[in-house]
Order: sequence, then C-alpha cells, then structure tokens
Amino acid sequence: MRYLTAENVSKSYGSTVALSPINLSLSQGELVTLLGPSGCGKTTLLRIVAGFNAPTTGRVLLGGRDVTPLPAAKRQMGMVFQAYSLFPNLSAEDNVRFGLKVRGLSGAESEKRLKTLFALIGLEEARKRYPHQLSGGQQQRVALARALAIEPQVLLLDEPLSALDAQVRLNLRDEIRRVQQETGTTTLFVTHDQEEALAISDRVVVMEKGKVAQLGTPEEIYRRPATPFVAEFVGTANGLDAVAQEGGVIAVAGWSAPVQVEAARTFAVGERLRLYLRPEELRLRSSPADGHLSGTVTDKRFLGSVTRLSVRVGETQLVADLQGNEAAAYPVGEAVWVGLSPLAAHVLRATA
Amino acid sequence: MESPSDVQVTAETVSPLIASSEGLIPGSGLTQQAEGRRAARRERLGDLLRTALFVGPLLIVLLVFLVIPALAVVIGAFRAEGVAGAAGGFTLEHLRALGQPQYLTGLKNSVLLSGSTALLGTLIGGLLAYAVLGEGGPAWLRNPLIAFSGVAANFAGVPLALAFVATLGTTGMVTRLLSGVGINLYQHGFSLFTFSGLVVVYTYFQVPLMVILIAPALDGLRREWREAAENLGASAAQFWRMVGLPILAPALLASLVLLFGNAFSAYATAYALTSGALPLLPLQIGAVLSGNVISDPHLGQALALLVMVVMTVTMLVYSGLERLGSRWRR
Amino acid sequence: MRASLLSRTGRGAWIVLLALYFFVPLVALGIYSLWAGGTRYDLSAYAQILQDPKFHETFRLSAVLAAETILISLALVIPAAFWVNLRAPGLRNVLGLLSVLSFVVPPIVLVGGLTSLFRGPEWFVGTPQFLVAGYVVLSLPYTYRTLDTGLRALDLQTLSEAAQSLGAGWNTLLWRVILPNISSAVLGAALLTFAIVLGEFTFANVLLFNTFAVYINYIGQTQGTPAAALSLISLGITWLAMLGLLRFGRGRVALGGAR
Repeated sequence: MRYLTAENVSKSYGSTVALSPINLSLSQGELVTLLGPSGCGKTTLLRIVAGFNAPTTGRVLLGGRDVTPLPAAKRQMGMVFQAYSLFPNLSAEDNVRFGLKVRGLSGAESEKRLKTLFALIGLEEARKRYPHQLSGGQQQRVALARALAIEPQVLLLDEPLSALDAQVRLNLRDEIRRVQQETGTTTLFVTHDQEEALAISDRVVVMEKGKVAQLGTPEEIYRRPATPFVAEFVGTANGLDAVAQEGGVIAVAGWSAPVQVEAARTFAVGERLRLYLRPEELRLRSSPADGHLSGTVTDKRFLGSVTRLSVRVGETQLVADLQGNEAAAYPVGEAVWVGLSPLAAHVLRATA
Repeated sequence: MESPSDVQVTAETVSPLIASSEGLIPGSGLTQQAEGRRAARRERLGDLLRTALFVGPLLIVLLVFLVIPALAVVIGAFRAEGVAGAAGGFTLEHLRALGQPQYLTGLKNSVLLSGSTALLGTLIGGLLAYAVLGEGGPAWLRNPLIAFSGVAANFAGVPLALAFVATLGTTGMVTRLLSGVGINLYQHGFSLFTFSGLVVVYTYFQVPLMVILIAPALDGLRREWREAAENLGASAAQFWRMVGLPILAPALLASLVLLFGNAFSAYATAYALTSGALPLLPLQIGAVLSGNVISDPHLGQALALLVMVVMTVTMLVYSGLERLGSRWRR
Repeated sequence: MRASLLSRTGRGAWIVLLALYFFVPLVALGIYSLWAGGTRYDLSAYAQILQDPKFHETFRLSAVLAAETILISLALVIPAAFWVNLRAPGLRNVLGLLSVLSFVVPPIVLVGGLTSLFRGPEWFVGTPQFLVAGYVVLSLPYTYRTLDTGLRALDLQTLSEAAQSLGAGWNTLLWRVILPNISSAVLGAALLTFAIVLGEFTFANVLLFNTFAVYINYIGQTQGTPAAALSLISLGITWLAMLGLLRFGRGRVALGGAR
C-alpha cells in the first residue's frame, strides 16, 4: 500500500540543514498535506519528490521503483505552483494540452481528455481565453487541469491557494479535494494554513524546522497533538504550565486548586507539563458548580460563527468559544465558572 | 528671503484655499459661486503660465534646434533652387538624384550593414545574455556583464575604430598573430577598411546594446514556467520552442529593429575607419554637407530625408512590437 | 538535475569566446599605444601627447563644450521634468514624442538641418558654441530619462505641498527641496552628457570644428601610436564617467554617444 515513499530523505545546503532525514509513505489515492510555517522544509521536500532538487541523502520511491535518479521531466508527476505558472503565450486549453503535446499525444484522444478536464474544473466556456484574461482562481483551476491532463501518478501542489482571495480560497480548496477524490490521484499538498490542511487531508504531516513534528489524521493532530508546537500551530489552544501530582491530578500555575485530567495519569509526580484546552471544550456556567473554577469575563469578540470570550481564571487568561447566543449570558466584567472536561483536556510534557 | 515674485506665486497657490474658505463665509449662494468660478479661472491661468515657464524653454529649444531643422530637411529635399537665390517651387529632382548609382549603393550598403549587424547583435547578444543572466548562469558575472554592456554600448566612434585597427588592421596584433600561424587575413580578401571589417566593428557595440535591451525580458521569464514545463515532461528544447521563445519573441524582434536603427544612423565609426571612402548613406550625407565631393545642400537634404524615412519606419515597427509584447505582461 | 539548452561547458566556452572578442581589441589598443617603433615599447607616445599644444587645446574645447552643454541641459530639463511630474503629466507624451524624434533624426541628419537653417549670425554659427545647440538636443533623451527617473522616485506632490505649507515659493522649492533630492540623478545626467560630448564626432567633423574626437581621428590618419594613446585616454575617461553613472544612477544603464 506504500505507493509514494520518501525514504530517509534529507537536504542540506553546506552547513545549513533544510530537511532532517524524513520517512514518509503515501497510499494510493491518498491526499497528504505537509503543514508548517515558512522555513519548515515542506516545500523543500515537495521539490525533492518532484525532482527539482536532489536530496542530500535518501531516495524517492514511486510504486516501489526508485525515481531519485530520474529528472523531473521523466517522473510523470503533475505539479501545481503557487502562482503564475500558466504559460502566458498559450490559451487555457493549449496550456492544458501542453503535457499531451510533449508526449506526442494529439487528435481525438487528447480532445477527449481536454473535454473531461474542463468539465471537471467547470471552465468549459473559458477554454480559449488567455491567462491574463482569467482570474486568479480560474488560473489555478486551469493549472490543476494541466497537471491532471498527463494522468500523473502523483499530484503535487505547492501552496496553490496562498495567492488567492479568502472566498476563492475556500471554494477552490473544496474543488481540489473533489477533483482529487474523483480521479483517485495520490496527492501531496503543501500549505501553511492549518485550516486548509484539516479541511481536505486524509493525513497531515506537521513539520517544524526541517523535521516531522507529527503525522496523523486531521482529528488526531487536532485533538491529540504530540508536541507543544503542534498543539499551538494547529488551531487555537489555551496553553498553561502545570506540574503533575498523584493519579492524574495536576497543579496548574496560577490556579488556586489542582484539577483532574485523565491524560495526566501517565506522568510521574513532579514532572513539568503543558496543559492544552481547546476554546470550544471549555464549559461556562453563570453560577458556582462542582469542579468548576471561578473566573471573570474580561473581553468578548464576535467572530461570526462563534463568540470568543476572554476569561481570567486565577492568574491565567483563558479563551473560550461559545456558539450563537450562549455568550449573551456572560457579560463582560461578570463572574463566571469554568469547567473543563477531564477527558478532553490534553497534556504534554513541557519542552524546555 | 523670498522675492516679490515668490510671494505672488505663493498667493496664487493659496487661492484655492481662499476660494473654499470664501464658501464657508455665510453669504448669498450666488456670489459664492461666482467667486469660486473666478478663483478657479485665476488658478487655471496661473497654472498655464507656470507650465509655460517651467516647460516652455525646453520645448522652445527643442522646437528651434530639433523640430524645425528636421522640417527644414524634409522641406529642403523638395525645394527647387530659384533663380538668383530666390526661393523656388517644389521639385522631385533631388529625390530623383537619389536614384544615382552611388546613392543606391550607399542605401544598399547601409541596409546590409545595419541588417547584418543587427542580426549578429541579436543572436550573439541574446545568447550571451541567456548564458549569463539566464538560469544556471554564473551569478557572479551578472552585474559585471550589465556594467560592461552599459559602457561598451557607448564605446564607438574613433576610439573603437582605432582599437580595431590595432587588432585587425594590416599590422594589427591579431593579424600578425594569425599570419604567424599561417593564416593571412588580408590575402584572403578580408580588410578592416571594407564592408566586412565594418561588420566586425559594428558588432562590438551592437552586442552589448542587445544584452541591455533583452535583460529585462529575460528577467521576466518566470522560473515557474520553466519548472512547470519540465514537470509536464518537456525537454529544454521543447520548452524554448513552445514557451520560452514565443514569449521572448516580441522583445527579441523589437531589439533587433532598434539595433538596425542604431547601426543605420551611425557615422563616426564608419568615418574613422574608412575616412568616408565606403559608400554608406551617413558618410555620403557627411560628404555632401562638408562640401567635399559636391556642394548641393538639397541633395544632402534628400539623402537625410531618406535616412529619416528609414528611421521612422524602424521606430514604428519597434513600438508596434513593444505593444505586442506587453500584451502578456500582467 | 535541470536539463539546460546550453550545457555548462558550452556556456563557459561561449562566454570565454565573447570575452576574448571584447577584450582583445582593448589590449591591442593598449599595446599599440606603447609601441615606439621597431621593438621598443615605452610611454613616449603619452609624453608626446601631453606636450602637444593641440591636445590641450582640443581637450579643453571639448571639456568647455561639455560643461556648457551640461549647464544648459540641466537648466532646461530639470524644471520641465519637475513640472511634468508634478502638474502636467499630459506633457509626458509630448516629451516622449520628442525623444522619439531625436532617434528618428540622428546626428548626421540633424547637422544637415542645422546648417541649412542657421547661416548666421557669425558669432554663433562660426564658433564651436554652435555645437552646443546640437549637443543639447543630442543628449536630451538621456538627460531627460535620467532626471525623470530620479524625480519619479520622489513623492513630488507631498514634498511640494509640505514645502509650500511651510511658506516656500517655487524657487525655494526647486533649489532647496527638489534639487538636493535628485542630486544623484543630476550627477548621473552630467556624467552621461560629459561622456557623450567628449566622444562626439559627427557634428564636429561635418562642421569642421576641432574637438577632441576630431583631433584623435586626425592624428590617427598619420601617427598610429599617439592616436592609440589618445583613444585609450578618451576611453578611460568615458568609462570612468559611465561607471560613475552606474554608481550614482543606481544601476540605471543609459545609452548615448557617438556612433
């Protein structure tokens, strides 16, 4: 089931290590996202898979075959770049036809493929237009079709949505996922936008400073981040310092009383920990309740789908997301009682 | 310390403020409007005067020393010399004189020289620019190349001619080196002081000019295009044939045309090398004007008109190509 | 990894070949200028030149003409470019057109027009100052482009309004505010004009004036070595000027000069 594999791949430029040795395998038809901030090595890894850069160590295997010595032109992979990759002197359909022409494919077969692709991306009426006559989103869709035209074994996307407007980005990312699933193409997607990664991926590889921080499904990396970096990079989180006590009880810095957290059971007494609470996991009550900590609402932000409250608990500041009208019950300045589900809270060993 | 004229000028520029503040003063709407209109007119007049003051002198100088002389050439080419110096009517006689064999030869030579050096300059300069400025080129050579090209493109005329005399003249360094190896240039018919020699010398300033002209276009070739083409399976040759050269084509052609005009109007280099002996249009104009061979100003003007026509056509083609090229630039 | 049209060795060979083409004539010129007959090589040609009164005379003439051209050009172009950028962007087209006209009417044609038009007065036409008229026109497109670029880099509107709100008149504005801010462009334009005038041959030769370039050519007809030395000197000056332009013009490469 290991269709595309990066085996022990690393990349160094002189003494600078851009990518530490990485092992990664994709199954056929999977969409895996490389997620991380700029400089984490995600684009470097993608370009090594594509064949634009040679790895310092390791190999790239496709369907069991070592493609590392092959130049990019021979790897049968389709790539979509961040922007400006359409050939300006060719119309949309000539762009899409390019890979076919290069392979000597023409006539009825290529026409058929073109028709299918343009229908797939929904741009049949724009076939004859030139890139400068198309919007950013349209250009990227044509770029996608162009990459798919050669029926690649792997589809590579290098931050294809970063240069687009917010609304277009949302629409296009769903389109990309739909097209990918319909064609069943194994896909490697690079982005720094964690929401994007969560929305469309089968699995996510979170990268930091050239290393893999965590590899898992979107749910896994969101609910069970493996490192503080992942916890803080993916989604919003309340991160608090704590010290482990007996039997899953931890003392949180700045809170008056220790709390029970199931995930803390595995840690030895006295170990320094990081407690992570997602804003939507906090339960608020306007009157005292068992197991709830007392606090005060200090700020309220209306974000559309949720309302974000800032709550001061002890000496810490927490962020809680409430749906719809729930937030009306907790005016700013009033006392509130905060409960956290012992099962939902996530605990990690503190990094120095 | 401001001069009175400055104070006046300051008042003029402040008048729009006055006009608007007048509107703030309560009063009948009609007088406010009239005041506003008058102030606006004063401002427009002031602006016009200032435009005349700032830009006028330059325009006048250009009018007197560029536009009118150009017109004089055009008109003079058609003017017939009247009896006893009086201005005559118009005639095509001078233009017909252009049909004489030596001037036709001059035109032919000029066109051939300009065309061939433009082609050479485009090819050699284009390849040189790509070799250094293109992808994979030696990065340390980029700035030196641009700097050198800027200087070398202006290196023409007498010093250039002498440099080549010292190199490829009858006793030039390279000539002697080659004869030492058994290759006798001048016996094989080459001479620096003939057409072929001029081609070699002209190329010296055509190539750097090409490098300068094509550099921005090469910069505009996005890396993504090259990579996308490669990713889709294209070889380097396929990329250049299907994407690279078509995109560069307008810039290449425009530069070619500019190089043609550059060579066509050149005088100094050719004169220094041949002392005006070779039949080339600019040299022939010079000869007529200096009164060396024949002193007929109208003939000179007819010849000059011919050059102007060629240069105008050159310019029109160039701007047309430029517009074509900018179609794809976002 | 990347397949390229020019292989690395091909690229290198091409560059080396062209480097030869460009540098050998210069080297040859240098060597020639040191040739003192037979197998002797020394600096006698340079010494001879420096003692030649004609050298000083023609060089001074060209330098003076250059200075006059620079002053007049700057005086004409700076206010014009300033105004076009500030208040009259429509005139930009007119000036662009005039630059094109300058290309369409090359020196050899312009000199014909000037001679037919201006027969007198003698104090103008008979003296080398007549050349200044032609030189101003010749250097115009380059001077204008350099200064225009320099002015465009400034937020002229804001600067002018700020100065005027503080009480400055147009004079003060130009001299104390604008000029200092375009000093590098002015210097660049001056250097370019200097290089153009020093190397200019067409006008001077046709009108039979003895400028530096004409003198070099005249010497070159009879004595090769001093002419080579002169050329090298002329070249060196032009190059220094152009390199200065590159330094001060912030890398803006411009074109101009005798061809």
